[in-house]
Amino acid sequence: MFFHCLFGGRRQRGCGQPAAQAGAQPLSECCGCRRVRVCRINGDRNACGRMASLGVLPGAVLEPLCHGRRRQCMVKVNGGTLSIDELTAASIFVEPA
Amino acid sequence: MNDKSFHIALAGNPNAGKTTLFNHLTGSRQHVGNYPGVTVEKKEGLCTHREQRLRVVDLPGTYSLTAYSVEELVARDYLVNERPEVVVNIVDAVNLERNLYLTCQFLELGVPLVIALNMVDAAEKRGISINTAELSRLLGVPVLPIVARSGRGVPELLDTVLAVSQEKDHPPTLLRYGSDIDLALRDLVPLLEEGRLLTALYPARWIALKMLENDEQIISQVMRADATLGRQLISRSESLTQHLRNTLDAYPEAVIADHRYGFIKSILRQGVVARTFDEDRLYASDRIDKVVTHRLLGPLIMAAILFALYSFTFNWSSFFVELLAGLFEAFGGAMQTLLPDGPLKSMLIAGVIDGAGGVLGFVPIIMFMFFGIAVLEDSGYLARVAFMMDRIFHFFGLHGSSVMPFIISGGIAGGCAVPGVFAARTLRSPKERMATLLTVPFMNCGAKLPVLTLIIGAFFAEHQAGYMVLATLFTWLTALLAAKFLRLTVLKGESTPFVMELPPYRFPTVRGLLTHTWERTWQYMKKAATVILGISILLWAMMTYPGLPADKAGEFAALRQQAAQNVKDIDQLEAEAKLRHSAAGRIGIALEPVSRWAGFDWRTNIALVGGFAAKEVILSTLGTAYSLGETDPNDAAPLKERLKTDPRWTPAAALAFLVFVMFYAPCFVTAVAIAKESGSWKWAAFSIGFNTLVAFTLAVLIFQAGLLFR
Repeated sequence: MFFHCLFGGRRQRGCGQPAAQAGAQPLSECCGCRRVRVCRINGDRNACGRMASLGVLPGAVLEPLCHGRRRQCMVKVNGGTLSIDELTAASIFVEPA
Repeated sequence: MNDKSFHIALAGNPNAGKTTLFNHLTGSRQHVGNYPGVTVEKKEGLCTHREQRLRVVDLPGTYSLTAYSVEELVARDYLVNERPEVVVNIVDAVNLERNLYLTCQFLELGVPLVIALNMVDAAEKRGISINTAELSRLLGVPVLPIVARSGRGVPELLDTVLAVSQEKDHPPTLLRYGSDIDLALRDLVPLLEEGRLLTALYPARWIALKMLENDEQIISQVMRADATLGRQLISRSESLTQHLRNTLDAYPEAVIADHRYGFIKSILRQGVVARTFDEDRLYASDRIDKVVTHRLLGPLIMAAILFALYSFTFNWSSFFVELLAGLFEAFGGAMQTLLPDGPLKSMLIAGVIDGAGGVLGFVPIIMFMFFGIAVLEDSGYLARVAFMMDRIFHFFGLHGSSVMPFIISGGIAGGCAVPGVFAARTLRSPKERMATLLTVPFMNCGAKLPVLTLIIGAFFAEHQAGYMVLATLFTWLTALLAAKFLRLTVLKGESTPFVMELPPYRFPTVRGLLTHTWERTWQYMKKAATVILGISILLWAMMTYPGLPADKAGEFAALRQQAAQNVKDIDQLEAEAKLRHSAAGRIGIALEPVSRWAGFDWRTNIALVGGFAAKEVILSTLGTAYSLGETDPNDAAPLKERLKTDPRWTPAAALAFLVFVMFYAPCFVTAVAIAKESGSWKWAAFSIGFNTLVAFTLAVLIFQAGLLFR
C-alpha cells in the first residue's frame, strides 16, 4: 500500500519535507470526506515513526469520523479509532481513496 | 504444590484488557479504565494454576517496542531485563490488525509468547469470526480465545502458558522488509555479532532493526558499549536513511511499519478472519461518536452529563446523608449522657465525633459521585472528553495527554491529585509535563468535595447541582489560566502533538461499577478512620493544651462567681480564650492580619493550615474549632448550622473560603508526589507557593467585592 501511494501519482514528499503535493490536502481539511489515503506525513522523525506504528503511514486508508471541516480529527484506521490533534492532522496529507 | 513459581508478563496494546485479566488471575482490584494509559507502571500479583504458583506482572499498554513513550520503555526494559518465562500478549479480537503489530515485534524479539485473543464475544457480536488454529499456525505461537471479563478460556490459557514455559528454544521470527532494509540488516547483524554488542540482551537482528528505526535508547546503549563500532553502525544506518529519503522519500521506520502491516494483512487474508457484516459498516460506537463528539452538540452533551452527574449525586444521596448525620448525633448524645465530664469526653465528642465523624458523614455523597464517575469511565465516555478538551488544552499550552491527569485529579469532582500527578508521566515534553504537574492539584479532589458540599449546602442550598457545575467550570478555567501563565513564563516552549486511540463504547458491568465505587469509597473511609482521626485528635489536643495558667483560670472563676447571671457569656469568652491560647490558636491568630483580607478569622486559619496535611482535615478542624468555641463544647449544633448563623460567615466570605480551599497549596502527599515526579523539591515548593498565591488573590478579590456590594 505504501508503494501504491508513492508511485500511483506524482512523486510525493515525505516526513520532514515542507513542499506540498498537488492534489493532496491536510487531513484537518478533509474531515467530511468518506475515505482518504495518506500520501505523506510532515513532521519530525519521531512523530512520523509513532504515527507509522499506529498504522498512519503513506498508503494507509483512513476513514474520518468527524463532521465537516474541523481542526482536530477522529479517524478509523486498521479497525481502531484514533483521535488526532490539530497540529498532527495538519501535517498528514491525504487524497480521496 | 510446586515450590518454584513461574514468572509471566501480560503485555499488549492499551485497552486490550491486560489489567482485567490481571485482576481475574490474581484476584486483586487494580484500577481498570476504558481509556488508554491507566497502567503507567507495572503491577505484580500471584495466582495458582494446577498447583503451580505463577507470578503475574501487568505491563503498561504499548503500541510498539520502539522507545516512543514511557510505557514502551517500561514494557521493553522489563521484558529484556527480567526475562519472564512466558509473555502473554493480550490481543483485542475486535481490533486484530492494530494489535498484531506489537505481536510482530514480540516475535522478532524472540520472547516465549502465548497470544490471548481477548473479547472474542465482542468480536462475535460484530460478526467477526477468527480461526485461532490457523492464526496460531501462521504466527508459530499458541493463540487462545478468551473473555477476560468473565474468565472464559482463561484456564485453557494458563494450561498453555505452563506448557510453553517448559519449552527451551524460542527463535526470533524473521520478517522481510524489502531489499534495501534487508541488505542493511545483512551488513549490520554480523558487525553486532562479531563485536558482541548487546547481543547478550537482544537478538542481533532486533538491535539492527531498532538502530534503523532510530531508537534513541538503543543507539545510546550501543554507543556506551562500543563507541567505535557504534559509529560504524550509525554510519551504515544513516546511509540507508539517506537512500530511502532519496528514492522513496520516507524514513526507514515508515517502510518497516508498512512491511509489518503487510505481513499482518497477508496472515489475516489466509482464512484467519471471516466477517458476517460489511467491513465498512459503522458500528454503534462510531455512530455514538458522531453525535457525542460533534463540534456543537458535544460540549452541550458534556455539560448536560456533568449536571446530571451532580444532580444524581445530591438528590440520591441526601437521604443517606441525613441518616448518617442522625446516627452521629445519636452517638454524640449517648457519649454526652454516659461519660463523665473531663478531657476524655471532650476528646471523644469534639475531636472524634465532630472531627472524623464530620468527614465520614459525607461518605454517601462520595459513594454516589464515584459510582457516577465509574459509569462514565467504564463506558469509554471519559476518553471522548479528552478528545473534545484537547484543542482547548493546546490553546492553554498543555497537551491532550494532560486531560486524563486533570480528570483523575478531580476534573469531575471526586478524584485524587496523587494518581493524577503520576498519570502525567505519559507526557513526553518535560515542560508540558511540568505545567500539568503544577496545575492538577487545582482540581476538586475527593477531599475537597465535603468542603464544597458543606459551603454550597449552607449558603447556596437552592441550586446545589448548578453551583457544583459552576465550581467545576471555575476550577478548570483557573487551572488552564495558571497553565497558560506558567507556559508563557517559567515553562516556555513549543507544543507537542497528541494522538490517542479511542476505546469503543462498552456497557459497564455491575461488578466493575460496584468494585470501582467501593475501592474509592473504602480508600476515603480508611483515610477518615486513620489519618484524619489521628489529625483530628492531634488538633483537638493542640487547641486544648497548654491549658490556661492557674491565675488566668482563677480570674475567670472569680468572674463567674461575681456575675452568675452572665455565666453563659463568660464561659464563651473562656472557651475562646483557651482556644486562642492554644498552639493552634496562636498560629491562627498570627495569620489573621493577612487572612482577614480574604475574610478568614483565626479559627478558619487553623482549619486551612491543617488542610495542608490532608484536605479532609479542613472540615474536621473547622468542626472542632467551632465546637471548642461554643459555650458547651459537648452540645454543639452541626457545623453547617453554626456557620450559617455566624455573622462573620457572609455569602461572600463563604465563597472566598470555598475558592481558597479549591485552589490553595496541594496536600502534603501530592506535594511529595510532585517532588518525586519532577525530581526536585523546588517544584513542590513552587507548587505550594504558586497555588496558595493564586488562591489567596482570588479569595481576596471575592471577599472585597462582596464588601463593596453588601
